[in-house]
Amino acid sequence: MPTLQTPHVLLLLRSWLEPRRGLLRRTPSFAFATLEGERFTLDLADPELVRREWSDAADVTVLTNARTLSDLVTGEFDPRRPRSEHLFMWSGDAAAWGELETLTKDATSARGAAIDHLRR
Amino acid sequence: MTSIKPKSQLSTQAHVAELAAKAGVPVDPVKEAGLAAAILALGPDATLLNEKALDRVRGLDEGLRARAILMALTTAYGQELTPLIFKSGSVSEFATRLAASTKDILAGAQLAAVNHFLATFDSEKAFLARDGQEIPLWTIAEAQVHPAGAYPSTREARLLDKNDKPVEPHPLSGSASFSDGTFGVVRLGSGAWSAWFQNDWNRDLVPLDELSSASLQAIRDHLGPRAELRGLAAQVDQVLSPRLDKADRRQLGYEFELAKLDLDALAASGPPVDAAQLMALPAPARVARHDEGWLRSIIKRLSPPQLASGQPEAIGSWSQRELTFGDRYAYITHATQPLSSTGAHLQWTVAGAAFPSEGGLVELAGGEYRLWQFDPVRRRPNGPDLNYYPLEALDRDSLVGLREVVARLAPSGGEDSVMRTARQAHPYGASYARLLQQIDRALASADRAP
Repeated sequence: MPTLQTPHVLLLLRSWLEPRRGLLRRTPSFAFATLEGERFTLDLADPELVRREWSDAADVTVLTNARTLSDLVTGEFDPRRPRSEHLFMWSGDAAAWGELETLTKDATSARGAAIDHLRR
Repeated sequence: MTSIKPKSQLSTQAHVAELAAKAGVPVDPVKEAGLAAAILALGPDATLLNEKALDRVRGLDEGLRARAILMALTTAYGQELTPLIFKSGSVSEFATRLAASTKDILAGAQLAAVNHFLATFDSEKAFLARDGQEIPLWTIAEAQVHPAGAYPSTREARLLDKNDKPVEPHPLSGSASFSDGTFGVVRLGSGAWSAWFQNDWNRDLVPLDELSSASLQAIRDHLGPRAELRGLAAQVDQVLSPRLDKADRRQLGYEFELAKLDLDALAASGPPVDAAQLMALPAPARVARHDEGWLRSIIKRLSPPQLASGQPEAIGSWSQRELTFGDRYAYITHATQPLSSTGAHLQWTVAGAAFPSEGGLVELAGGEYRLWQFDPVRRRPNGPDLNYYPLEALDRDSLVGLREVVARLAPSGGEDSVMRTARQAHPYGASYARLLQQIDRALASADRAP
Protein backbone atom coordinates (compact mmCIF):
# COMPACT_ATOMS: atom_id res chain seq x y z
CA MET A 1 0.00 0.00 0.00
CA PRO A 2 1.61 3.31 -1.01
CA THR A 3 2.29 5.71 1.82
CA LEU A 4 0.58 9.06 1.64
CA GLN A 5 3.06 11.86 1.88
CA THR A 6 2.72 13.95 4.98
CA PRO A 7 1.70 17.09 3.04
CA HIS A 8 -1.14 15.06 1.59
CA VAL A 9 -2.11 13.91 5.04
CA LEU A 10 -2.19 17.53 6.14
CA LEU A 11 -4.32 18.46 3.16
CA LEU A 12 -6.75 15.72 4.01
CA LEU A 13 -6.88 16.79 7.63
CA ARG A 14 -7.66 20.31 6.61
CA SER A 15 -10.34 19.35 4.14
CA TRP A 16 -12.04 17.16 6.74
CA LEU A 17 -11.77 19.39 9.72
CA GLU A 18 -12.12 22.91 8.47
CA PRO A 19 -15.81 22.90 7.55
CA ARG A 20 -16.81 21.44 10.89
CA ARG A 21 -14.55 22.92 13.47
CA GLY A 22 -17.01 25.70 14.23
CA LEU A 23 -19.08 23.15 16.06
CA LEU A 24 -16.45 22.46 18.63
CA ARG A 25 -16.92 23.26 22.28
CA ARG A 26 -13.22 23.77 22.69
CA THR A 27 -10.38 24.00 20.25
CA PRO A 28 -7.39 21.94 21.26
CA SER A 29 -4.10 21.80 19.42
CA PHE A 30 -1.95 18.83 18.49
CA ALA A 31 1.76 19.00 17.81
CA PHE A 32 3.13 16.24 15.61
CA ALA A 33 6.71 15.23 15.04
CA THR A 34 7.74 12.45 12.74
CA LEU A 35 10.88 10.43 12.59
CA GLU A 36 11.29 11.67 9.04
CA GLY A 37 11.73 15.21 10.31
CA GLU A 38 8.29 16.66 9.69
CA ARG A 39 6.83 18.86 12.36
CA PHE A 40 3.41 20.34 12.24
CA THR A 41 0.77 21.61 14.59
CA LEU A 42 -2.91 21.00 14.11
CA ASP A 43 -4.51 23.86 15.99
CA LEU A 44 -8.28 23.94 15.81
CA ALA A 45 -8.30 27.53 16.98
CA ASP A 46 -5.87 28.70 14.34
CA PRO A 47 -7.40 30.10 11.15
CA GLU A 48 -4.69 28.26 9.26
CA LEU A 49 -5.62 25.04 11.05
CA VAL A 50 -2.33 23.35 10.23
CA ARG A 51 1.07 24.94 10.51
CA ARG A 52 4.30 23.30 9.52
CA GLU A 53 5.94 24.03 12.81
CA TRP A 54 6.23 22.53 16.23
CA SER A 55 4.34 23.99 19.16
CA ASP A 56 5.45 23.54 22.72
CA ALA A 57 2.08 24.78 23.92
CA ALA A 58 -0.02 22.13 22.21
CA ASP A 59 -2.60 20.24 24.23
CA VAL A 60 -1.38 16.99 22.79
CA THR A 61 2.02 16.04 21.49
CA VAL A 62 2.52 13.15 19.15
CA LEU A 63 5.61 11.34 18.01
CA THR A 64 4.97 9.23 14.97
CA ASN A 65 6.22 8.46 11.49
CA ALA A 66 4.99 9.10 7.99
CA ARG A 67 3.73 5.58 7.51
CA THR A 68 1.68 5.69 10.67
CA LEU A 69 0.20 9.06 9.73
CA SER A 70 -0.68 7.70 6.34
CA ASP A 71 -2.24 4.59 7.80
CA LEU A 72 -3.99 6.67 10.41
CA VAL A 73 -5.92 8.67 7.84
CA THR A 74 -6.56 5.66 5.64
CA GLY A 75 -7.87 3.66 8.54
CA GLU A 76 -5.16 1.05 8.24
CA PHE A 77 -3.57 1.84 11.54
CA ASP A 78 -5.16 -0.07 14.37
CA PRO A 79 -3.68 1.21 17.63
CA ARG A 80 -4.65 -2.01 19.30
CA ARG A 81 -2.82 -4.08 16.75
CA PRO A 82 0.01 -1.94 15.41
CA ARG A 83 2.24 -3.39 12.77
CA SER A 84 5.99 -3.35 12.87
CA GLU A 85 6.21 -0.13 10.88
CA HIS A 86 3.94 1.81 13.17
CA LEU A 87 4.96 4.38 15.73
CA PHE A 88 2.48 6.54 17.56
CA MET A 89 3.29 7.88 20.97
CA TRP A 90 1.34 10.68 22.45
CA SER A 91 0.83 12.57 25.63
CA GLY A 92 -1.26 15.41 26.86
CA ASP A 93 -4.95 16.02 27.22
CA ALA A 94 -6.90 12.89 26.35
CA ALA A 95 -10.12 14.89 26.04
CA ALA A 96 -8.59 16.72 23.09
CA TRP A 97 -8.84 13.55 21.06
CA GLY A 98 -12.53 13.49 21.78
CA GLU A 99 -12.90 16.88 20.14
CA LEU A 100 -10.97 15.68 17.13
CA GLU A 101 -13.13 12.62 16.96
CA THR A 102 -16.22 14.79 16.93
CA LEU A 103 -14.95 16.47 13.83
CA THR A 104 -13.80 13.39 11.98
CA LYS A 105 -16.44 10.83 12.79
CA ASP A 106 -18.62 11.82 9.86
CA ALA A 107 -15.76 12.09 7.41
CA THR A 108 -15.45 8.37 6.87
CA SER A 109 -17.09 8.25 3.49
CA ALA A 110 -15.16 11.23 2.25
CA ARG A 111 -11.87 9.77 3.32
CA GLY A 112 -11.87 6.93 0.88
CA ALA A 113 -12.50 9.08 -2.14
CA ALA A 114 -10.01 11.71 -1.15
CA ILE A 115 -7.34 9.16 -0.38
CA ASP A 116 -7.91 7.29 -3.60
CA HIS A 117 -7.66 10.59 -5.38
CA LEU A 118 -4.31 11.32 -3.82
CA ARG A 119 -2.97 7.86 -4.52
CA ARG A 120 -3.68 8.00 -8.22
CA MET B 1 -29.49 7.59 -10.73
CA THR B 2 -26.39 9.46 -11.55
CA SER B 3 -22.97 8.14 -12.23
CA ILE B 4 -19.64 9.80 -11.84
CA LYS B 5 -16.58 9.19 -13.88
CA PRO B 6 -13.75 9.33 -11.41
CA LYS B 7 -11.09 9.53 -14.04
CA SER B 8 -12.70 12.51 -15.66
CA GLN B 9 -13.08 14.27 -12.36
CA LEU B 10 -9.66 15.82 -12.35
CA SER B 11 -9.91 17.33 -15.78
CA THR B 12 -13.39 18.51 -15.05
CA GLN B 13 -12.28 20.11 -11.83
CA ALA B 14 -9.47 21.82 -13.63
CA HIS B 15 -11.83 23.20 -16.17
CA VAL B 16 -14.31 24.28 -13.56
CA ALA B 17 -11.54 25.93 -11.64
CA GLU B 18 -10.53 27.79 -14.75
CA LEU B 19 -14.09 28.91 -15.30
CA ALA B 20 -14.41 29.91 -11.71
CA ALA B 21 -11.21 31.89 -11.90
CA LYS B 22 -12.42 33.70 -14.98
CA ALA B 23 -15.70 34.43 -13.28
CA GLY B 24 -13.93 35.82 -10.25
CA VAL B 25 -15.17 33.08 -7.98
CA PRO B 26 -13.09 32.71 -4.86
CA VAL B 27 -11.65 29.23 -4.83
CA ASP B 28 -10.64 27.42 -1.72
CA PRO B 29 -8.69 24.25 -2.44
CA VAL B 30 -9.17 22.91 1.04
CA LYS B 31 -12.91 23.24 1.02
CA GLU B 32 -12.98 22.27 -2.61
CA ALA B 33 -11.22 19.04 -1.81
CA GLY B 34 -13.78 18.33 0.85
CA LEU B 35 -16.62 19.02 -1.52
CA ALA B 36 -15.11 16.95 -4.27
CA ALA B 37 -14.50 14.13 -1.85
CA ALA B 38 -18.04 14.33 -0.57
CA ILE B 39 -19.42 14.16 -4.06
CA LEU B 40 -17.12 11.37 -5.08
CA ALA B 41 -17.86 9.44 -1.93
CA LEU B 42 -21.47 9.20 -2.89
CA GLY B 43 -20.46 6.59 -5.40
CA PRO B 44 -21.60 5.76 -8.88
CA ASP B 45 -25.14 4.81 -7.91
CA ALA B 46 -25.92 7.57 -5.49
CA THR B 47 -27.90 10.65 -6.11
CA LEU B 48 -25.21 13.12 -6.88
CA LEU B 49 -25.94 15.74 -4.31
CA ASN B 50 -27.83 14.54 -1.31
CA GLU B 51 -28.07 15.55 2.26
CA LYS B 52 -24.58 14.34 3.00
CA ALA B 53 -23.22 16.73 0.45
CA LEU B 54 -25.49 19.41 1.78
CA ASP B 55 -24.14 18.87 5.22
CA ARG B 56 -20.68 19.61 4.00
CA VAL B 57 -21.77 22.46 1.83
CA ARG B 58 -23.52 24.34 4.56
CA GLY B 59 -21.48 27.19 5.82
CA LEU B 60 -19.39 27.47 2.71
CA ASP B 61 -19.36 30.60 0.71
CA GLU B 62 -21.58 31.04 -2.26
CA GLY B 63 -18.88 30.63 -4.81
CA LEU B 64 -17.95 27.24 -3.50
CA ARG B 65 -21.51 26.08 -3.36
CA ALA B 66 -22.03 27.19 -6.90
CA ARG B 67 -18.90 25.35 -7.88
CA ALA B 68 -20.15 22.23 -6.18
CA ILE B 69 -23.34 22.43 -8.16
CA LEU B 70 -21.44 22.98 -11.34
CA MET B 71 -19.06 20.12 -10.60
CA ALA B 72 -22.01 17.88 -10.08
CA LEU B 73 -23.51 18.90 -13.34
CA THR B 74 -20.40 18.52 -15.37
CA THR B 75 -19.52 15.15 -13.96
CA ALA B 76 -22.96 13.71 -14.43
CA TYR B 77 -24.07 11.35 -17.10
CA GLY B 78 -27.38 11.90 -18.74
CA GLN B 79 -30.45 13.57 -17.45
CA GLU B 80 -31.21 11.47 -14.43
CA LEU B 81 -29.27 13.93 -12.39
CA THR B 82 -31.27 15.15 -9.46
CA PRO B 83 -29.80 18.52 -8.74
CA LEU B 84 -29.86 19.95 -5.32
CA ILE B 85 -30.66 23.58 -5.70
CA PHE B 86 -29.80 25.86 -2.91
CA LYS B 87 -32.70 28.07 -2.32
CA SER B 88 -30.47 31.05 -1.90
CA GLY B 89 -31.23 32.95 -5.03
CA SER B 90 -27.77 34.30 -5.48
CA VAL B 91 -26.17 30.88 -5.28
CA SER B 92 -28.61 29.38 -7.71
CA GLU B 93 -28.20 32.25 -10.07
CA PHE B 94 -24.49 31.96 -9.84
CA ALA B 95 -24.58 28.26 -10.60
CA THR B 96 -26.88 28.92 -13.48
CA ARG B 97 -24.55 31.50 -14.87
CA LEU B 98 -21.57 29.20 -14.55
CA ALA B 99 -23.49 26.28 -15.97
CA ALA B 100 -24.48 28.37 -18.94
CA SER B 101 -20.85 29.22 -19.52
CA THR B 102 -19.96 25.54 -19.73
CA LYS B 103 -22.29 24.88 -22.61
CA ASP B 104 -19.66 25.95 -25.06
CA ILE B 105 -17.22 23.30 -24.00
CA LEU B 106 -19.41 20.39 -23.02
CA ALA B 107 -20.84 17.77 -25.29
CA GLY B 108 -22.96 14.69 -25.17
CA ALA B 109 -24.29 13.58 -21.85
CA GLN B 110 -22.62 16.36 -19.91
CA LEU B 111 -24.13 19.00 -22.11
CA ALA B 112 -27.48 17.27 -21.78
CA ALA B 113 -27.14 17.36 -18.02
CA VAL B 114 -26.40 21.06 -18.03
CA ASN B 115 -29.26 21.74 -20.43
CA HIS B 116 -31.53 19.73 -18.20
CA PHE B 117 -30.42 21.75 -15.22
CA LEU B 118 -30.96 25.03 -16.99
CA ALA B 119 -34.33 23.97 -18.36
CA THR B 120 -35.67 22.71 -15.06
CA PHE B 121 -34.20 25.23 -12.71
CA ASP B 122 -36.94 26.87 -10.79
CA SER B 123 -36.10 28.27 -7.44
CA GLU B 124 -39.70 28.00 -6.31
CA LYS B 125 -39.77 24.30 -7.03
CA ALA B 126 -36.25 23.53 -5.99
CA PHE B 127 -36.00 20.70 -3.58
CA LEU B 128 -33.64 18.95 -1.31
CA ALA B 129 -33.04 15.34 -2.19
CA ARG B 130 -32.58 13.03 0.73
CA ASP B 131 -32.46 9.29 0.46
CA GLY B 132 -34.45 9.47 -2.72
CA GLN B 133 -37.21 11.50 -1.13
CA GLU B 134 -38.01 14.91 -2.38
CA ILE B 135 -38.64 17.53 0.21
CA PRO B 136 -40.58 20.42 -1.21
CA LEU B 137 -38.89 23.71 -0.77
CA TRP B 138 -41.86 25.24 0.93
CA THR B 139 -41.42 23.02 3.94
CA ILE B 140 -38.10 24.68 4.46
CA ALA B 141 -39.12 28.17 3.51
CA GLU B 142 -42.14 28.02 5.75
CA ALA B 143 -39.95 27.36 8.70
CA GLN B 144 -37.51 30.16 8.15
CA VAL B 145 -36.72 32.04 11.28
CA HIS B 146 -36.22 35.72 10.86
CA PRO B 147 -34.73 37.67 13.68
CA ALA B 148 -36.77 40.52 14.97
CA GLY B 149 -34.27 41.62 17.54
CA ALA B 150 -30.73 41.06 18.52
CA TYR B 151 -29.52 37.67 17.37
CA PRO B 152 -28.86 34.95 18.52
CA SER B 153 -31.66 35.60 20.95
CA THR B 154 -34.09 33.38 19.11
CA ARG B 155 -36.65 34.12 21.78
CA GLU B 156 -37.25 37.28 19.85
CA ALA B 157 -37.34 35.62 16.47
CA ARG B 158 -40.43 35.63 14.35
CA LEU B 159 -41.57 33.09 11.86
CA LEU B 160 -42.65 34.13 8.42
CA ASP B 161 -44.87 32.03 6.26
CA LYS B 162 -43.96 30.91 2.79
CA ASN B 163 -45.23 34.19 1.39
CA ASP B 164 -42.94 36.03 3.71
CA LYS B 165 -45.87 37.30 5.73
CA PRO B 166 -45.48 37.50 9.48
CA VAL B 167 -47.40 34.92 11.40
CA GLU B 168 -48.21 34.71 15.05
CA PRO B 169 -44.91 34.01 16.77
CA HIS B 170 -44.44 30.64 18.27
CA PRO B 171 -43.57 30.65 21.92
CA LEU B 172 -39.88 29.91 21.58
CA SER B 173 -39.12 28.72 25.02
CA GLY B 174 -35.62 27.41 24.53
CA SER B 175 -32.72 28.01 22.29
CA ALA B 176 -29.03 27.33 21.93
CA SER B 177 -26.57 28.65 19.44
CA PHE B 178 -23.20 27.22 18.63
CA SER B 179 -20.04 28.43 17.11
CA ASP B 180 -20.18 32.03 15.93
CA GLY B 181 -23.90 32.13 15.53
CA THR B 182 -24.08 30.13 12.33
CA PHE B 183 -25.70 27.04 13.80
CA GLY B 184 -28.04 26.42 16.64
CA VAL B 185 -31.17 24.75 17.88
CA VAL B 186 -34.50 26.17 18.83
CA ARG B 187 -37.63 24.76 20.41
CA LEU B 188 -40.75 25.52 18.51
CA GLY B 189 -44.20 25.98 19.88
CA SER B 190 -45.04 22.37 19.21
CA GLY B 191 -42.32 21.32 21.61
CA ALA B 192 -40.20 19.87 18.81
CA TRP B 193 -36.64 20.98 18.63
CA SER B 194 -35.14 21.98 15.34
CA ALA B 195 -31.70 22.97 14.17
CA TRP B 196 -31.14 26.20 12.40
CA PHE B 197 -28.38 27.17 10.03
CA GLN B 198 -27.31 30.58 8.99
CA ASN B 199 -27.68 30.68 5.25
CA ASP B 200 -26.80 33.95 3.61
CA TRP B 201 -29.50 36.33 4.69
CA ASN B 202 -31.79 33.72 6.14
CA ARG B 203 -31.80 31.24 8.94
CA ASP B 204 -33.22 27.92 7.92
CA LEU B 205 -34.82 25.49 10.26
CA VAL B 206 -33.87 21.88 9.67
CA PRO B 207 -35.58 19.03 11.50
CA LEU B 208 -33.28 17.01 13.69
CA ASP B 209 -33.82 13.82 11.74
CA GLU B 210 -32.40 15.47 8.66
CA LEU B 211 -29.12 16.30 10.33
CA SER B 212 -26.08 14.16 9.90
CA SER B 213 -24.96 12.00 12.76
CA ALA B 214 -21.98 14.26 13.29
CA SER B 215 -24.18 17.32 13.61
CA LEU B 216 -26.43 15.51 16.04
CA GLN B 217 -23.46 14.41 18.05
CA ALA B 218 -22.16 17.96 18.01
CA ILE B 219 -25.45 19.18 19.43
CA ARG B 220 -25.41 16.44 22.01
CA ASP B 221 -21.89 17.35 23.00
CA HIS B 222 -22.73 21.00 23.41
CA LEU B 223 -25.81 20.78 25.52
CA GLY B 224 -24.12 21.31 28.81
CA PRO B 225 -26.04 21.36 32.08
CA ARG B 226 -28.88 23.62 31.02
CA ALA B 227 -32.04 22.09 32.37
CA GLU B 228 -34.19 23.59 29.67
CA LEU B 229 -32.22 21.62 27.09
CA ARG B 230 -32.94 18.20 28.51
CA GLY B 231 -35.79 17.76 26.11
CA LEU B 232 -33.45 18.48 23.27
CA ALA B 233 -31.04 15.83 24.48
CA ALA B 234 -33.81 13.28 24.50
CA GLN B 235 -34.89 14.19 21.00
CA VAL B 236 -31.35 14.07 19.68
CA ASP B 237 -30.81 10.68 21.25
CA GLN B 238 -34.02 9.44 19.75
CA VAL B 239 -32.73 10.29 16.29
CA LEU B 240 -29.12 9.43 16.82
CA SER B 241 -29.29 6.15 18.69
CA PRO B 242 -30.78 4.03 15.91
CA ARG B 243 -28.00 5.15 13.63
CA LEU B 244 -25.35 4.06 16.01
CA ASP B 245 -25.50 0.36 15.90
CA LYS B 246 -22.21 -1.35 16.25
CA ALA B 247 -21.36 -1.22 12.57
CA ASP B 248 -22.12 2.44 12.35
CA ARG B 249 -20.08 3.19 15.41
CA ARG B 250 -17.13 1.50 13.85
CA GLN B 251 -17.67 3.28 10.57
CA LEU B 252 -18.07 6.66 12.18
CA GLY B 253 -15.00 6.22 14.25
CA TYR B 254 -16.71 5.91 17.58
CA GLU B 255 -14.51 3.04 18.49
CA PHE B 256 -11.36 4.84 17.51
CA GLU B 257 -9.38 5.13 20.64
CA LEU B 258 -5.69 5.48 20.86
CA ALA B 259 -4.18 2.66 22.74
CA LYS B 260 -2.84 3.44 26.14
CA LEU B 261 -0.37 0.67 26.61
CA ASP B 262 1.94 0.19 29.48
CA LEU B 263 5.31 1.48 28.52
CA ASP B 264 7.11 0.62 31.69
CA ALA B 265 9.82 -1.13 29.79
CA LEU B 266 10.39 1.83 27.57
CA ALA B 267 10.15 4.29 30.42
CA ALA B 268 12.70 2.35 32.38
CA SER B 269 15.16 2.67 29.58
CA GLY B 270 14.51 6.40 29.57
CA PRO B 271 16.33 8.91 27.50
CA PRO B 272 18.43 8.96 25.52
CA VAL B 273 16.72 7.01 22.83
CA ASP B 274 17.14 7.53 19.14
CA ALA B 275 14.95 6.75 16.18
CA ALA B 276 16.57 3.41 15.51
CA GLN B 277 16.13 2.31 19.09
CA LEU B 278 12.57 3.47 19.07
CA MET B 279 11.71 1.54 15.96
CA ALA B 280 13.49 -1.50 17.32
CA LEU B 281 10.99 -1.75 20.14
CA PRO B 282 8.08 -4.14 19.71
CA ALA B 283 5.26 -2.56 17.77
CA PRO B 284 2.78 -2.49 20.66
CA ALA B 285 5.24 -0.59 22.78
CA ARG B 286 5.54 2.04 20.09
CA VAL B 287 1.90 2.98 20.27
CA ALA B 288 1.19 4.53 23.59
CA ARG B 289 0.48 7.47 25.76
CA HIS B 290 3.19 8.44 28.09
CA ASP B 291 4.66 11.17 30.17
CA GLU B 292 4.40 14.44 28.37
CA GLY B 293 7.74 15.90 29.27
CA TRP B 294 9.57 12.74 28.46
CA LEU B 295 7.83 12.46 25.14
CA ARG B 296 8.58 16.03 24.25
CA SER B 297 12.21 15.56 25.03
CA ILE B 298 12.31 12.62 22.66
CA ILE B 299 10.50 14.56 20.00
CA LYS B 300 12.93 17.40 20.27
CA ARG B 301 15.84 15.06 19.88
CA LEU B 302 14.29 13.26 16.97
CA SER B 303 13.19 16.40 15.18
CA PRO B 304 16.17 18.61 14.69
CA PRO B 305 15.76 21.80 12.69
CA GLN B 306 14.86 20.87 9.18
CA LEU B 307 17.27 23.28 7.63
CA ALA B 308 19.68 21.02 5.83
CA SER B 309 23.27 22.07 5.61
CA GLY B 310 24.17 23.66 2.31
CA GLN B 311 20.55 24.36 1.53
CA PRO B 312 19.92 27.83 2.84
CA GLU B 313 16.54 27.96 1.19
CA ALA B 314 15.23 24.66 2.44
CA ILE B 315 11.67 24.86 3.60
CA GLY B 316 12.39 24.97 7.29
CA SER B 317 14.40 28.12 7.03
CA TRP B 318 11.45 30.31 6.11
CA SER B 319 8.76 31.43 8.43
CA GLN B 320 6.42 31.21 5.55
CA ARG B 321 2.71 31.36 5.63
CA GLU B 322 0.31 30.33 3.03
CA LEU B 323 -0.87 32.81 0.54
CA THR B 324 -4.41 33.89 1.12
CA PHE B 325 -6.71 35.38 -1.40
CA GLY B 326 -10.41 35.80 -1.46
CA ASP B 327 -12.11 33.92 1.28
CA ARG B 328 -9.25 31.64 2.01
CA TYR B 329 -6.93 30.40 -0.65
CA ALA B 330 -6.75 30.36 -4.36
CA TYR B 331 -5.47 27.86 -6.79
CA ILE B 332 -4.02 29.10 -9.99
CA THR B 333 -4.07 26.52 -12.70
CA HIS B 334 -3.00 26.68 -16.24
CA ALA B 335 -5.42 25.30 -18.78
CA THR B 336 -3.11 22.40 -19.46
CA GLN B 337 -2.34 21.70 -15.84
CA PRO B 338 -5.02 20.02 -13.75
CA LEU B 339 -5.45 20.79 -10.14
CA SER B 340 -2.76 19.25 -8.07
CA SER B 341 -3.03 17.93 -4.60
CA THR B 342 0.37 18.86 -3.32
CA GLY B 343 -0.97 20.99 -0.58
CA ALA B 344 0.44 24.19 -2.00
CA HIS B 345 -2.08 26.92 -2.01
CA LEU B 346 -1.03 29.00 -4.91
CA GLN B 347 0.13 27.06 -7.90
CA TRP B 348 1.06 28.07 -11.32
CA THR B 349 2.49 26.27 -14.27
CA VAL B 350 3.12 27.50 -17.74
CA ALA B 351 3.96 24.82 -20.24
CA GLY B 352 7.26 25.45 -21.91
CA ALA B 353 8.15 28.34 -19.66
CA ALA B 354 11.14 28.67 -17.42
CA PHE B 355 9.68 26.45 -14.75
CA PRO B 356 7.54 23.79 -16.32
CA SER B 357 7.54 21.69 -13.19
CA GLU B 358 4.86 21.87 -10.64
CA GLY B 359 5.32 24.87 -8.45
CA GLY B 360 3.69 27.87 -6.94
CA LEU B 361 4.15 31.02 -4.97
CA VAL B 362 4.61 31.54 -1.30
CA GLU B 363 4.70 34.73 0.67
CA LEU B 364 7.53 34.82 3.11
CA ALA B 365 7.24 36.34 6.53
CA GLY B 366 8.75 39.57 5.32
CA GLY B 367 6.19 39.92 2.57
CA GLU B 368 8.40 38.84 -0.28
CA TYR B 369 6.91 36.40 -2.71
CA ARG B 370 9.01 33.56 -3.95
CA LEU B 371 8.42 31.00 -6.59
CA TRP B 372 8.73 27.44 -5.40
CA GLN B 373 9.08 24.30 -7.39
CA PHE B 374 9.93 20.72 -6.73
CA ASP B 375 13.53 19.86 -7.13
CA PRO B 376 13.75 17.29 -9.92
CA VAL B 377 16.57 15.43 -8.19
CA ARG B 378 16.88 16.25 -4.54
CA ARG B 379 14.42 14.50 -2.28
CA ARG B 380 13.45 14.75 1.34
CA PRO B 381 12.60 11.56 3.19
CA ASN B 382 8.95 11.78 2.30
CA GLY B 383 8.87 13.69 -0.95
CA PRO B 384 10.64 16.01 -3.31
CA ASP B 385 12.61 18.88 -1.93
CA LEU B 386 11.63 22.40 -2.79
CA ASN B 387 13.57 25.18 -4.39
CA TYR B 388 12.71 28.83 -3.98
CA TYR B 389 13.41 31.54 -6.49
CA PRO B 390 12.79 35.26 -6.53
CA LEU B 391 10.17 36.45 -8.96
CA GLU B 392 12.90 38.00 -11.05
CA ALA B 393 14.00 34.48 -11.98
CA LEU B 394 10.88 34.09 -14.09
CA ASP B 395 11.14 34.95 -17.75
CA ARG B 396 9.01 37.77 -19.06
CA ASP B 397 6.33 35.56 -20.59
CA SER B 398 5.91 33.76 -17.32
CA LEU B 399 5.62 37.03 -15.44
CA VAL B 400 2.99 38.26 -17.87
CA GLY B 401 1.07 35.02 -17.47
CA LEU B 402 1.33 35.23 -13.73
CA ARG B 403 0.12 38.81 -13.76
CA GLU B 404 -2.91 37.80 -15.76
CA VAL B 405 -3.99 34.95 -13.54
CA VAL B 406 -3.35 36.88 -10.36
CA ALA B 407 -5.39 39.77 -11.73
CA ARG B 408 -8.30 37.39 -12.13
CA LEU B 409 -8.26 36.84 -8.42
CA ALA B 410 -8.88 40.49 -7.73
CA PRO B 411 -12.06 41.50 -6.01
CA SER B 412 -14.58 41.70 -8.76
CA GLY B 413 -16.62 44.46 -7.22
CA GLY B 414 -19.40 42.71 -9.01
CA GLU B 415 -23.06 42.62 -8.39
CA ASP B 416 -23.00 40.11 -5.60
CA SER B 417 -22.99 42.19 -2.46
CA VAL B 418 -22.47 39.21 -0.17
CA MET B 419 -19.36 38.09 -1.96
CA ARG B 420 -18.07 41.62 -2.14
CA THR B 421 -18.63 42.15 1.54
CA ALA B 422 -17.01 38.86 2.41
CA ARG B 423 -13.96 39.73 0.43
CA GLN B 424 -13.67 43.11 1.99
CA ALA B 425 -13.84 41.50 5.38
CA HIS B 426 -10.85 39.30 4.75
CA PRO B 427 -7.38 40.63 5.34
CA TYR B 428 -5.91 39.54 2.08
CA GLY B 429 -5.74 42.95 0.52
CA ALA B 430 -2.22 43.74 1.59
CA SER B 431 -0.88 40.39 0.45
CA TYR B 432 -2.61 40.72 -2.85
CA ALA B 433 -1.35 44.22 -3.42
CA ARG B 434 2.18 43.17 -2.52
CA LEU B 435 2.14 40.36 -5.01
CA LEU B 436 0.95 42.58 -7.82
CA GLN B 437 3.55 45.18 -6.94
CA GLN B 438 6.31 42.62 -6.92
CA ILE B 439 5.23 41.14 -10.22
CA ASP B 440 5.10 44.59 -11.76
CA ARG B 441 8.53 45.34 -10.38
CA ALA B 442 9.92 42.11 -11.82
CA LEU B 443 8.27 42.87 -15.14
CA ALA B 444 9.83 46.32 -15.20
CA SER B 445 13.17 44.76 -14.43
CA ALA B 446 12.70 42.26 -17.25
CA ASP B 447 11.82 45.06 -19.63
CA ARG B 448 14.96 46.92 -18.73
CA ALA B 449 17.14 43.87 -19.26
CA PRO B 450 19.06 43.84 -22.53
